[in-house]
Amino acid sequence: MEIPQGTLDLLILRALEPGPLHGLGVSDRIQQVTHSVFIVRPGSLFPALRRLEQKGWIEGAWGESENRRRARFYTLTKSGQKQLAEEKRSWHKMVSAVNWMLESEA
Amino acid sequence: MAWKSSAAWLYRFLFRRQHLEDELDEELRSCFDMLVDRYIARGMTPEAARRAARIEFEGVEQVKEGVRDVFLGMNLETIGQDIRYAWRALRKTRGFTTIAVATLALGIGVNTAIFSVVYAALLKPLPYGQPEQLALVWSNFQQMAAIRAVTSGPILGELEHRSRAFQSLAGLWTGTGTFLGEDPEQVKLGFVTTNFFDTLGVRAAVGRTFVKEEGVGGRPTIVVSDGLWRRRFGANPDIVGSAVRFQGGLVTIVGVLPPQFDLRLDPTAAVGVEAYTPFRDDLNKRPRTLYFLRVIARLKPGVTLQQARQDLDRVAVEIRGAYTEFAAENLTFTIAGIHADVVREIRPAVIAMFAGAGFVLLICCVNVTSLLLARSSDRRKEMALRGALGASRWRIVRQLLTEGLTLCVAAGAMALAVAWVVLRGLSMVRPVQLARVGPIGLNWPVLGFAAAVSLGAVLLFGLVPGWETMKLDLIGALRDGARASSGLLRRRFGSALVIAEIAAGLVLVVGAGLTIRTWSKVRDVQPGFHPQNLLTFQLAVGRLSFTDKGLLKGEKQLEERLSAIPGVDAVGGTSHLPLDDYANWYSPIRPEGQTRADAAALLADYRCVTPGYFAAMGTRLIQGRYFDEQDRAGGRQVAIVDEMLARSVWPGQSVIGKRVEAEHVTNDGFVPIWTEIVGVVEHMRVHSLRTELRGEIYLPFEQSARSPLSYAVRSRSDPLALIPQVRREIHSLDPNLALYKLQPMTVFVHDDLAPVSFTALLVGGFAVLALLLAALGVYGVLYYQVSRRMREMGIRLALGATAGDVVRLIMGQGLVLTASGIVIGVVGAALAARYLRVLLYGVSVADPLTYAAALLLLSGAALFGCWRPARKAAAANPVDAMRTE
Repeated sequence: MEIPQGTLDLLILRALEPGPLHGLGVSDRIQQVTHSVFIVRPGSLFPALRRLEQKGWIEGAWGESENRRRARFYTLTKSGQKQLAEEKRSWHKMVSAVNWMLESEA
Repeated sequence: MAWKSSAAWLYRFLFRRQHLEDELDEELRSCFDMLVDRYIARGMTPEAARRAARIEFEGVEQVKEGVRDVFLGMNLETIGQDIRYAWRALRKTRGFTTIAVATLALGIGVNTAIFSVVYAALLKPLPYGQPEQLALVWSNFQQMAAIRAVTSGPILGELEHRSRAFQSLAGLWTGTGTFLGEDPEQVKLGFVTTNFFDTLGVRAAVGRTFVKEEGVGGRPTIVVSDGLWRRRFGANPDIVGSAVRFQGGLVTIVGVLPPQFDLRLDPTAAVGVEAYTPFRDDLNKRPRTLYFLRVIARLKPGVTLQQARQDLDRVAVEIRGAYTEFAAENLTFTIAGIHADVVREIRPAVIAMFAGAGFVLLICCVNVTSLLLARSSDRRKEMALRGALGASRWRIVRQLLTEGLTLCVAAGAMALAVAWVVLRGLSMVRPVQLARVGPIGLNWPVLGFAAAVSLGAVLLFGLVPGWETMKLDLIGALRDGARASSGLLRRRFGSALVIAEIAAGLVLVVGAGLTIRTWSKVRDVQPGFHPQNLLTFQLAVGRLSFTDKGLLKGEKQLEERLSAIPGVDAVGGTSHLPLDDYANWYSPIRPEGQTRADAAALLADYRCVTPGYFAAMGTRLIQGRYFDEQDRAGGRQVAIVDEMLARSVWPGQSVIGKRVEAEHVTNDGFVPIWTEIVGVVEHMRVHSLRTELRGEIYLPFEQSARSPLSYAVRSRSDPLALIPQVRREIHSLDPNLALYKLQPMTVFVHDDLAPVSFTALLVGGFAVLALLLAALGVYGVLYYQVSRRMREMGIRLALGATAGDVVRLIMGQGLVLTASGIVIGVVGAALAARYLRVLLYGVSVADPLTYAAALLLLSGAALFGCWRPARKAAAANPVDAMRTE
């Protein structure tokens, strides 16, 4: 399923909320949690990570992966947490509004 | 802090590109390897695992491309959005955009034009090698108030001999010389020491400059300017090395100067020299106190002007110790950097113009700011909405900056057109003093200036509304919407703009008033002669003696022929016409009964004249008689003085019959001779209409003959009509005589008046602009404020106020602002006028007439600006007010 850019950003921020992950970890987490509805391939994952990093919402640092490979781990920054909270709110607002519209009597 | 992180990324993107790339590479590789690990763990062969990972990646290079694009994309995209949006916003409000762009273009254009004058006149480096090492050295006779006096030959020798601060010292005296041949032509001739061009650091474009052997006792040589070379010698390079007929002999042209070379000394120096020849006598043997040389010095590397000044002070002490005459005159030296000296006279006028243009720009900016402010407040709701939809404040400010930038780019482009037009206009009226500073045009420094001013305006215009937005209360703005009453802060800011505008306008109008009054005063000066109907020209009468007629006889014959031309009333000759830039002749004069030491402080301007001169010039005789036929060579030595000299030396006494020791031109050079005063004439303003520098003494040409001689021919009607006849008579007398500067006397007067008229015209133009703009500004701000208060006006009217009351209310508010602006403006004008003082003549810096006129004009402009808004307020409809409530 194609993910709109804004939604992808929201998903990545949410994926990083519990703790730092490397790139592959982010895409694994999104796939697991969404029961494989969303599959994020490297072609859209890495540009999105760079975009979020440039906006200052996440921060990358080198570390060691579970099977002892050098990997870049991303952490949610303070402004990233704020951004996530804001995006969650507006997402809920939008979803409920869309729902009302869809479920209203025709 | 989004912008901080943007800046950091910009830095990385620009300067740490390789590092970024390496990191990306490693990250992707590690991700790829992890994928491979994972597939192997699921039981794939390493081969198959790699293939699967590659498929998953959809091409590593494409992924990298995608990441790289993020940086540019994020920025380009938003910048593109900003520009598109700005363009739409500006187009939507076409009226606003037109007025803002035109106002800005006017302000920036006028400033760019004036700056190009400032650049050419004050900033452009002089066309000499390492000009910062060049300085002018003057004799300083403080007790005669001659701080920047020329120097004598022996003093130059002493300076060369005793000083240690200079690489070289060169001397210059300007006179005239005549090229003979088919078409005899008189040119300004610079007599120089042979090291003159080496000192200036100028090399010949063709041939060479002088060598030492061409000085004392050398063969006659000459170096010509590029202009003369092209005009007279058809730019023929072979002319170098050949001999031409010059001054009754043959001289060899050794070189041609480069086209950009220009002898730019101070404006009183003879400028426009077209040929140079070395002094071929020993300057050390000239009289010690015959002052005629300008000295140009090149400092040794690393020597400062201050050190050179100390060195000169020491030399002056030595010279005063060695020669009694210099001790009596208390000789010291003045040194000034050549650039500072060149611009000394023109600087105040140029700076005044620049300041005037600056004020115009200020008013333009104020107007545009108030326009933008009004608009931004109409857009409060829009901004608030954008904020609510998630635009950061920085994003909104950046949007406003982009709008400002778009405005200014448009205005900047139009400004160049304005500047070009203004420059064309200036070059039509520019006075000789400016003509001397060389070509004035739009060049890189000038364009840079225009760009800088435009950018400054962007920051101002983007940031003021932006700063407003920063303080925006989103909710309040959304709720109140467009009806939001203009806040107190906003109204105060608008009022401050009006006050600033009125104040700046007043300063300009006062400045213009003072310069215009100066102009009319200078124009009305009685200069001691009547310039109307007077034809003048210069003639190297020395030529007359090369014929067998003899100088004096030839001269007399010439005057007789000129007098015989129909329509000519009087003819006379003089060594120095008033207001001419020919090198002045001034020397000490010693009244009988005073010792040389007593008289050392007394200097007079010397002129030799033929008997008809005063009558031709229209100079009034006050006492005694004019010269006449009895004042011959070899006869009793006589002189005429002007009333200024008479009053200062013999106050309250009759001057006729008094004797003075005055300098005469004899076959042995300049010699002091006892002379009897036979007449007193009115003072002639010989240096400038604005100055009465020193007293004058006149000697009969026959007793003190100098060449060249300038003639004044008084005609009954238009002097230009005489020109063909005058030419004919002179050529029939001697075909080798060259007429020089054949022009009516009014041209000298006009040239002298030109800087004053130029400044008055320009500053007057600025003042008119300022008045218009100020009226517009007051109108704009008040109209806007009124339009926001229509509801209030409606209520006032509903509660029983008459239309007259409302008009009075608004007018009153406008006038209070105007009055505050005027008070501040008067203080500013008083401060500014002190700098203007050097440009003024015959009018006090606190001239009440000027201030009164300025007050009236500014109040009038403000009233004019208040009227429409007040009428609009009075037209408010109470019913509308109730309805919108």
